[in-house]
Amino acid sequence: MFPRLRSFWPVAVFFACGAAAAGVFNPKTATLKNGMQVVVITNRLAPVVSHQVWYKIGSIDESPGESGNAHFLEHLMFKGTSTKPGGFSKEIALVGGQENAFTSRTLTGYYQNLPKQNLETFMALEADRMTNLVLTDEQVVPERQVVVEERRTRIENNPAALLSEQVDAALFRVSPYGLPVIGWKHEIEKLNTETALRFYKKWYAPNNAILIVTGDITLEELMPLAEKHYGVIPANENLPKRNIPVEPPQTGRRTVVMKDPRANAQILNLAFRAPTLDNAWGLNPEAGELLAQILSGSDSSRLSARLVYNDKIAHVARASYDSMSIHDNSFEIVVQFSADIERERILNAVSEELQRVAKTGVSEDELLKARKKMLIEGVYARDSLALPAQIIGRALTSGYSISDVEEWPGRLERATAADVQKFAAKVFDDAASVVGWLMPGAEPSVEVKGVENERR
Amino acid sequence: MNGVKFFLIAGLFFGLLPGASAQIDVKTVKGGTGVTAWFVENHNVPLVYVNMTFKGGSAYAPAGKEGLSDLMARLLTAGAGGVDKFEFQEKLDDLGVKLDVESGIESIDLSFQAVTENAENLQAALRLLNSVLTRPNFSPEDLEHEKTLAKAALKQLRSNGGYQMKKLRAEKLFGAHPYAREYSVTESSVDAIAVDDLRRFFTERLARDNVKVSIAGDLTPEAAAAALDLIFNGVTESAAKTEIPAVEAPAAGLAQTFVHKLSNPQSNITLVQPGISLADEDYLAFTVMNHILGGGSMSSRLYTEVREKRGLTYGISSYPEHFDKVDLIAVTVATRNEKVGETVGVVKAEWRKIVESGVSPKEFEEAMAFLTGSYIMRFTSLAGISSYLLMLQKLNKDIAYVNGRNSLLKKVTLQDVNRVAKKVLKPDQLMTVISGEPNLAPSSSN
Repeated sequence: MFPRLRSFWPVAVFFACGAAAAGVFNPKTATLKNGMQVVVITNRLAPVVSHQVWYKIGSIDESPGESGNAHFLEHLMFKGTSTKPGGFSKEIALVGGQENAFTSRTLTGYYQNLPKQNLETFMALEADRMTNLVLTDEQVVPERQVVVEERRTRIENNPAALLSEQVDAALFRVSPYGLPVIGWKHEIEKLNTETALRFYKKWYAPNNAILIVTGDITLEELMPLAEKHYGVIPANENLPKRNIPVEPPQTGRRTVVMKDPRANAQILNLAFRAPTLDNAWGLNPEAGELLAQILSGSDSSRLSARLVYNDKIAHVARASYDSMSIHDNSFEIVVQFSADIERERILNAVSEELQRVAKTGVSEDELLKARKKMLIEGVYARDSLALPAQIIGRALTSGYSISDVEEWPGRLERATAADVQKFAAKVFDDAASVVGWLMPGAEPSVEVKGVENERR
Repeated sequence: MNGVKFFLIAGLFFGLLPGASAQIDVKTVKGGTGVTAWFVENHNVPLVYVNMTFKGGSAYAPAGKEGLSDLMARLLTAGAGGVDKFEFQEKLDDLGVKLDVESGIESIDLSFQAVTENAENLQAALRLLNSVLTRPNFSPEDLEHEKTLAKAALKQLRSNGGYQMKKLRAEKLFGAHPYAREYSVTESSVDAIAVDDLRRFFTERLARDNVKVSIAGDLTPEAAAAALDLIFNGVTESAAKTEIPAVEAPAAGLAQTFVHKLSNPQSNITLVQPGISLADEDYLAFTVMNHILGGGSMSSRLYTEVREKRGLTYGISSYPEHFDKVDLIAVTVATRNEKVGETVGVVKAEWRKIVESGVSPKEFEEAMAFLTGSYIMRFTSLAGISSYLLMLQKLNKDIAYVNGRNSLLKKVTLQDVNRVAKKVLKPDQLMTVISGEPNLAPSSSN
């Protein structure tokens, strides 16, 4: 596939349908004196390790006008340091390792999957680029073009992705959750060496980072190496506090209508404001994940059963919610349906199903099945070298603790049908939602209705 | 198969490679049904992975019913043994089982994953799998539903640049040959498919003498053999003898450029030429050469020239493609419309350069280091192990290859690589296929 697929995650990341960890990874953790947290998950299947450094920053930390900067910096982190000009991709290839990185709204991560005996070499190199990055325009300019091509591949060549981007922008007009992680095209084109390095110097520090290593190693084996290579980096005493603009309450439904000649079918992308762990609205976040599972986790789930099999008006209906967000969040429903079906029929059917849960709740049977399905994912996750690190990294950068991850099965078991109903009743509030439509049209166009001010 | 005891070892942490040995303990297991599997026993997690492939796919389905193999594959998980689709899915979920079936051009692949903690549940799961392979429902309602979805997907694929590029390439390479059928699905070919077609195709292709199997995970060899018996009990013995005809050399379109006009800001591009056979004695030398040219991620020449230096693309790679009747070598890349001509020019220049000047000793050493060192990364999960073992069987490798591959690879020399570049790569035979609104001029100013 694509080498060095530096990915960014849209809101609906791969756990969005509720398939999060069972928390049985048995991670071990410690913290270095400079504030860097260290986590180890031992997996003795093969003499390999996954070495990962996660920074607790992402696109929500960008300055106004600089959308895409966090992701751009992630690309540039491969370009080299004063001691290692050109980066260390060659060294990884020489030992047969794989590397990649990823950016989302709240986090940026870098990893190498390596034969175990090479771990220390790459801990040194990763630690080096935490503070010694050096960039030239000769490297930066072509890489900016690469990012624009990436945006074309992921978004601009795909009308459904363009719609999703507009729906986020309409739902979050003040909060940076309304900005695409990869950035708006016109803002990417203005990013440069200075914007990237400014972001880097402000946020990249050991006390804003987590070291996660999985594979054929224990915490006892790792700690001396962690002290030696990461422990010597001084903490940034001036690390700023995160200052995320707060999205004001929404008091009226907004609509996005997108037309595109490339659309041969229609899409409803319905997004509601939703809670996060740190901004929970008095709700149980696990209940939200169970709700998504009950709505569309299988063909007989509420939305599929109603729209696809019963009314036969849609091809696909999917709900997604991921509690691992900070400050702001959305609960999304996406329905794909044919061009000759009336849009209002789709919206009415979806709204009816959502209100049915809000008013009459879910059955114990549905709850049990959803829970079982989610818990099983935790068992399967243990077979992967990197997935446990992904789960723990996302949890830790969302404000969960290690013990939260390990206790997740218990929390899931304690979430009740009443919790699920309460979540639905609070979140499925039309006044705090965006209805997005994609439909065929002779010319591409986007119309946004119901917003008070023009977005810049 | 009553009374079979599953001797499961739970909770033991079992390293794959005991001590410093670089050997994977892979063996064949065979039950009473005549089906053999490549098997790796490992108790790292309470999971078992079974992967299997049947010779089948769109090339084996009749003309006029394109889409049949794909529909059959989808319907194999839509209920079996009289258990309807929703209930079947619930049973799988209840047992913690994941089942996936996919159809390709020349194969139908099935993957089955199950939890092993409870022996009775595992038996029940294996029986469900057996019912899929012996008594799929293929209900008329489910078929109608899938046909509706297939036709809806076809509509959406009209504006999918990657798909249209592959479709045009198939037309130009294969013409009326069955290998083109994967991309010549139409609404009328889908409409022509009936339940009888599904049943016939199922019986023709899903047979015990037509399958390759791999198993990895929390079973003993005895339990794996017993599992094979449960899975394949009652499965059709012999597949239909469907012959795929020879492919006439893609005479039309050698060194030509074909464009499918599509209104996207980015063009999808592929270049393709005749390839090298899996059985060729130079195959590993080709693998090394291809790694340097465009297979080797950020260390490849194509990546360096097209992405790193010129910022023309997010991704580019070169790779072999193997069918029973033809081999190809292809490159895929996507770039903005204005830069298509320039990008194609760079790829062709690299093609010529490696033929004319070969590779350097440094590039050769680095490629060998990566290819040998990275081999262990195929074995970092049971899922990955089972997949890889099946892939090797698809490539007609002997089981000794699992542990012998690096020794074989180390026999390749720099001279071999340079010789193989000249032998295999034909810059003047590259066919270019593009979907988008490409500017084909060799270079442009933006």
